[in-house]
Amino acid sequence: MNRNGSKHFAIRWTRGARITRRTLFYIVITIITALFLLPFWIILTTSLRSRVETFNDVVVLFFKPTIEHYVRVLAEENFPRYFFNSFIIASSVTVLVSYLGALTAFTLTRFLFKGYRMVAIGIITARMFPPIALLPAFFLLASRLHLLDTRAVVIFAHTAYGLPFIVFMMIGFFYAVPRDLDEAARIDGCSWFGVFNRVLLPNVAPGLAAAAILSFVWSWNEFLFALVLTRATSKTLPVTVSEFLTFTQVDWQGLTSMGTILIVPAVIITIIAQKHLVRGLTAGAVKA
Amino acid sequence: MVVEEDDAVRGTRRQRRVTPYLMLAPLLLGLFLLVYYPLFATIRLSFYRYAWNKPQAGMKYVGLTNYKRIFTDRQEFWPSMKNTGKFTAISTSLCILIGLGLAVFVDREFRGKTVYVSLLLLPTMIAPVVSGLTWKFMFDGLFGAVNYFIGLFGMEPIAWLSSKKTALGCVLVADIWQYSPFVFLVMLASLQAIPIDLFEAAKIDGASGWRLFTRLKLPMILPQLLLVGVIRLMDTFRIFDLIYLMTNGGPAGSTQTIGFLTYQRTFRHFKMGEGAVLAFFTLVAVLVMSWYFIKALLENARGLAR
Repeated sequence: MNRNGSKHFAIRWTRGARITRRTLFYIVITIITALFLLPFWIILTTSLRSRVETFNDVVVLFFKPTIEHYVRVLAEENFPRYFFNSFIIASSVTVLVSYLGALTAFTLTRFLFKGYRMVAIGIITARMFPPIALLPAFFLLASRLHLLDTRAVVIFAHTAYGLPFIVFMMIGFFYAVPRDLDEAARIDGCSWFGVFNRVLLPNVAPGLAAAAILSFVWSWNEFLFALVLTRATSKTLPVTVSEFLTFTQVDWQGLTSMGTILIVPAVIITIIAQKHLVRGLTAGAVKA
Repeated sequence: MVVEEDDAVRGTRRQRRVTPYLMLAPLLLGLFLLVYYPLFATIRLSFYRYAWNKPQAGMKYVGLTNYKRIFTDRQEFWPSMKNTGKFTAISTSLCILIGLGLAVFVDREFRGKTVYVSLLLLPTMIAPVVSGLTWKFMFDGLFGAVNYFIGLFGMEPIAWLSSKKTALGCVLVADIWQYSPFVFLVMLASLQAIPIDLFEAAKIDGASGWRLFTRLKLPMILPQLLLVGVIRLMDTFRIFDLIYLMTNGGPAGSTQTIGFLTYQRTFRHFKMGEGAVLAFFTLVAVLVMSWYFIKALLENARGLAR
């Protein structure tokens, strides 16, 4: 074979190898993803099949769907109330945590003040406190203030324990905004709050989006505080799900349909906002 | 300070001094009332005997009795300490290994990347209640999916959650399934933040994939890797909800952890004092484990403000 021919052959071979490699990559990533998604498939199918069928054969690819369990769970008298509780709590927490988190991150990146060290340590360590450790005292405090079983106490708890993480996430975004911007606004006569609201906030929008997603999902899913601080009136959906687990017998069909209802909003948010989340955290990562 | 022109204006300097406190006020107020007050109340409670189901009995100062009782408890405290240690070590290291490996694997351009990344993130975004109960269902001895799959290989069904040997492993699987995608998310974001020209330079130098990873990528994402490692360490050390939902600490205390023991003493046995000792202990342990890290974060933040 002459020089030319062998060169030609070599190129063809690499192209073939590239295609094989790509196919292999897709096969591997699909298997991994399928493994991670398997539990979702199991609860989805369980919630859509009759009791007897599930117990005969729990893993299926095709099945005859029925919505009887969803109808039963949704017809539950208090379902609208619990859904509403969860929604109100998670939305309030999102607004509070995103705004206060951004405000605090702004302060920590723009000012050096007396007690800076104390404040920063105070915020970081607050993230490290195990909620279960503070819950007894928190419970007593809430009961003394007659706040047990109110939405407000859950909102306060979620805000306080969700904030520190968001503050440290947002610091990276504020650092990335050039100082000239706020100084220009200051010279134009803006107050510091004005600078923050009108100039800085729009500039950290991607970070704010990521913060909002994370805090909404966090509050929507939170179980421990909701379990201990609420009873009948302000109970949230995660607590309701856990109640399908009784000592005698588990209503797996009811549980999986309720569980599916609970995870649908989080799944939708994740899929819609995934780009913001990754991009948000990417921008935040630049700081270090 | 940076804003020297402004300092010429009277009052601005004072404003600069006051503003940060005004801006921090809501957060500080919240943290004091909702985090630090309960913290001090917990520490105080650990020296008292108090049962919240019998408030008329009141609080009785008992000195170090609660501490003595907890730390000499060979029935529950030390076994649960061992479980917690095992759980934390295995879960944290596997989460990091899987999350980082997956992030490195996915960190390239390919068609459908967005879809794959979204799907891989799902476990970490769903409620721990649902994941805990789902895995309880998966590991069910009678009709669980896990037994179905091992049955395909001709293996006998196993009562996963009611066997002392396997129960902790089941909770570990659930925990790793839920949180390795979180590590994946943060690691993927950090990998994508590495400036692309750095790779170009390295590629021209002829660096191989593995060398590229250890010499270039790993050092650049190390801060985030540490951050996410410490977060996982702290969160697994206080593991409670998965235990509560999947095994209730059993069988025979084989999945009893410090977090679950705290809950049990406080809310089931009504021994608030002993619960408070455990709470305080958890706190100190977590702070000790992450002290180096807190310092590093702090230096970083201060550096930025300057």
